[in-house]
Amino acid sequence: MRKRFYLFLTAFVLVFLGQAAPVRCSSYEAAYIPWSGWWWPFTEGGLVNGSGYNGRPAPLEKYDYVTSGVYNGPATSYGRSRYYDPGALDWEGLCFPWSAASILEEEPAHKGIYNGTRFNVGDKKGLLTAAYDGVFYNYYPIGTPEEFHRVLTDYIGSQRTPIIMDIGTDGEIWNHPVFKYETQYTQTVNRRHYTTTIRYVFDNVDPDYVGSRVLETTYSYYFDVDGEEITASGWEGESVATHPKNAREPYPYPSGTQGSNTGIDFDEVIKIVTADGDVYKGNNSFEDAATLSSGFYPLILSTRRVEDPTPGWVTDSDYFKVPMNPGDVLCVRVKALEDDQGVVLRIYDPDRRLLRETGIEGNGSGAQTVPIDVPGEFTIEISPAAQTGEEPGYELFLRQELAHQGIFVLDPSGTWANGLALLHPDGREGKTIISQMDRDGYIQAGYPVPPGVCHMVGHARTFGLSSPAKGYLLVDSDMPVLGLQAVASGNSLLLGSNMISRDNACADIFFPHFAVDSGWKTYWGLINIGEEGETVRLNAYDPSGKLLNTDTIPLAPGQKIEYDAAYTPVLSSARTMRAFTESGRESLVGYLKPYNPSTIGRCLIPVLGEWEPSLMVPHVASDDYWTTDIAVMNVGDFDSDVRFQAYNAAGEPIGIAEHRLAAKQNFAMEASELFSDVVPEEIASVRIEAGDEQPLCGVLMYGSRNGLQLAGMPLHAGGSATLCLPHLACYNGWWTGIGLLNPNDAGTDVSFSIFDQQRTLLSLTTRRLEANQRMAVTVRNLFGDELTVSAKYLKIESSDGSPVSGIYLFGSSNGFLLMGDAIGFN
Amino acid sequence: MMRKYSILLLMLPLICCMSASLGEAAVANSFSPVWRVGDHWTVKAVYRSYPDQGKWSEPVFWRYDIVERAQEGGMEYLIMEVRDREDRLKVSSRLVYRAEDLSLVRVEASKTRRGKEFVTVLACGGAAPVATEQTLTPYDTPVFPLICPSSLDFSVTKHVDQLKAVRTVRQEVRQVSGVEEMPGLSPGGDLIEVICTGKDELVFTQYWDTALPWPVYGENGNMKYWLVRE
Repeated sequence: MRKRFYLFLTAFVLVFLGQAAPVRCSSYEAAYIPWSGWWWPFTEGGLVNGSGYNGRPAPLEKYDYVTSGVYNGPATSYGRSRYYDPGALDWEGLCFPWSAASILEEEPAHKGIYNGTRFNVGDKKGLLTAAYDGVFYNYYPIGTPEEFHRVLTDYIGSQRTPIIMDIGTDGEIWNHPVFKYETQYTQTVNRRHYTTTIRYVFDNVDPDYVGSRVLETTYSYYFDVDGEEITASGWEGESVATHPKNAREPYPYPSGTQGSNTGIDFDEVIKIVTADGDVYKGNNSFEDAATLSSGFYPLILSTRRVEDPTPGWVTDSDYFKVPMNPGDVLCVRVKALEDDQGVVLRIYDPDRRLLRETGIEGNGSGAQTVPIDVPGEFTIEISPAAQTGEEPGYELFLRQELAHQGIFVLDPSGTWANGLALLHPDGREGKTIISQMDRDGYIQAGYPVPPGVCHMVGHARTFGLSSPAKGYLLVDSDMPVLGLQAVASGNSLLLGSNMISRDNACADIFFPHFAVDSGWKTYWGLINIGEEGETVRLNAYDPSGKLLNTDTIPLAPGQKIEYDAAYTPVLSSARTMRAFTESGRESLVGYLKPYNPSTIGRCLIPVLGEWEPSLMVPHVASDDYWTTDIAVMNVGDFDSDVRFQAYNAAGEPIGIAEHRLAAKQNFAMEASELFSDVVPEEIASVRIEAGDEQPLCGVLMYGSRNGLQLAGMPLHAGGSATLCLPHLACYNGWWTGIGLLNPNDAGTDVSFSIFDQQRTLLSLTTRRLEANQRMAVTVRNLFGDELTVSAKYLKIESSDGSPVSGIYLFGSSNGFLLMGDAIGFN
Repeated sequence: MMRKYSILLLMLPLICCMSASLGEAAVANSFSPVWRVGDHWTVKAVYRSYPDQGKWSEPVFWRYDIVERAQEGGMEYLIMEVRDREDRLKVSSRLVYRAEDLSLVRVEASKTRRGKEFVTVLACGGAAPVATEQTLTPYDTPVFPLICPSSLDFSVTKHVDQLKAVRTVRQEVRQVSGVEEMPGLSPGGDLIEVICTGKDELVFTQYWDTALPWPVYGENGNMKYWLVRE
């Protein structure tokens, strides 16, 4: 009996101890912890539309923009078909590619600027997630507890690498990177009851979240063992239904290959993801200040880790230096891009004395305009408004306003190409910068013309001015500069004009003619190129010169507006318009773009604040092919008899016409109709005079009768002893025509000189122009084929200093394209 | 367990002979590949890729090299190194075969994660089919020699922590011809088909050409691979 008792007692103790005491408790962890990221649910489509994140542009749109120049590019297009489905199940998303990315790639922990575009942490993680759509993997089904336990053992325990597990329940799939597990068991006789807790990284976080948010789940199961051999196994408790379904081990792409999204280049994604901060990172002191010139700079204030006195992140200031000369103006605008993350703008003189300080609130903007009176490097400091350890993003708009400025009023986007020609006729020293401005007057890009270049021709895009926003281009130079622009689309559309000198900006300008009859349309534009906001009054006049409507519009500094006259309320039934600043500041530049939608001819006409009682039409082309239209406006306050005197090519008067123009009234007519008694082909030039000294302004348009070719230009009063045409188009199917008038009472010798790009004289020829004589010639006829090929620009000078007046026309031999303007009048 | 393996090994020739005699009247066909130091070949492999289980990746080309014949503990081993041809994946394997019977005894699988190399050593035990795992480099290895026809059961032991899980894998060998049984392979001469199955699943399938050192085609749960004729 006692023997039986002892046997029972021994068995009880063994069983009790076996149940109560964990035999073994082990913990294993991978060599590194994956990072948390958003799982981009398909119902939202945040990767392609920004929903649930920062809105537009979405991560894939940003990717497309920096790689292909458009937001709706191939990566977004693919993503729209695969990552956005409003009818998807609410758990469907990109948890697996995120898990793969978080295992295989370092965590993007900082914002970064790539190709001028800011990528936030969420953008970067989103791109990595999309890039790992299509990742290779090894698959391990998990049906039995030993399969589950073995995957943990092999990967986390042995290899010390994380593994992806699908821990979804109820038919849902939720992949997570598992990086740690703790396991323990108790044993009863031959059954081991395991309790295993896995730790995995969570994906229900803000897309910009940095770090690893960890969750854990515990599973129960048993192994029946015979010695060391598992003879049976099973899940226990809730784990019967909730155990992981499978595990996958992802593998990185072989370099040069990519995932399912064929619009994504994996290597490009890695470049974006690893671009931390901005390109000037490290410019955190006066000594390390980065040198800038005019341009738009998307920037980020970077952080650095400090341990004293309290561990944390500190946001450093950015420093930039800008070389300036006396007489220049330093124009700086800053936009703070984050909510609640303001910045402070400070500008220092070359001796590091603080000149100005401007606080800028989160999502706000601020500006400083500093006239420069000493030479040297001025320093711009951008500092965080408060130390929050954040990385505030901001945009810096910097323009060095130099002594000489010009404006190209058009900067079209899309299929239009913006051809530019610049010439420093007197040589070049110092800086020349072309700035691309958007319609709000914010600089988008700057192109410093390389030192020593006196003549340059090219498309704006080739100069890095690749962000056209239908704004305009500003040219700043330390030296006098001339230019012209030719805006073209395909082989059939062209319009262009001279660069408008900043000196031509004025407080009061007149639009002398809106072509809105007979199917014509006219766009009109106005730019405030001053440094102050302006209130601009618009007075519209009817065909009789009566004030029809008035309007007042605000124009911010640098702002440009452009409207179709037919859809401008103030211009309803109007024929002319006056625009003037209430402040009286000379800050307005205007232009007209007439065109006939039924043909392809169109032109660009600068509208200058220049009016005189006498205007000249230095060249009239009127025959079976060409027409010349003249529009004149009496901008004075009194009625006036306006006299039109026609001359033939030899300078002999051949016809007179008189029209009475009321104040603000205009008159527009084809030259051949104006002088109905004169043979049209004989009209070579026209002089327009207001009988009672009332000021006139006007425009001139040359066109082909088939409507394909059209060129327009403002009418000017006089001429100059020296004219300069900064570009010649004389080959590859182009011709350059010149109409030159000697408006004086005496004859003069006129020299024509062509130069190459290095300002070397190629050829000079002289012609005699008698009083009122007009000369019409092509450059090729003047100099021959061989010389004109290498000629870049033309100078025209009268021998005795008497003024001559001229126009140029660039035309294509195929009869489609034409543009022109006055020679050297800007 | 060792005793079980020993018995199996001892019985192997007998089982093979029985299978062969029962299966076909023709002369038993026994095949083992011939590997010599300096031999090399290329294998093209594709893998499952997210999200579609049925979708396969772009191909990866693996170069196999017999790099060494080594002696260890009185036994001779052939060392085979496998790495991707362009060295783009940063994944490689070093496979140790017993020279005597070409049984795979050890796999040293190397991969790179976040710039750091991770090496896993898998001991295979020998005398049983080995299926590729924990790497992308295909190393499915049947038990040689392949005897046509034959059907043999082997015990395969997997370590689960300190425990072992034993399962039976059946290796079936037969001679086949015809492209329909060799997905992705052009028609050619007769081939030896090897199918290894577990309780409920396919472990791997291979097709061997007796003139070639590696199966002309194979597949397992994670990959398909082809010998590249160069």
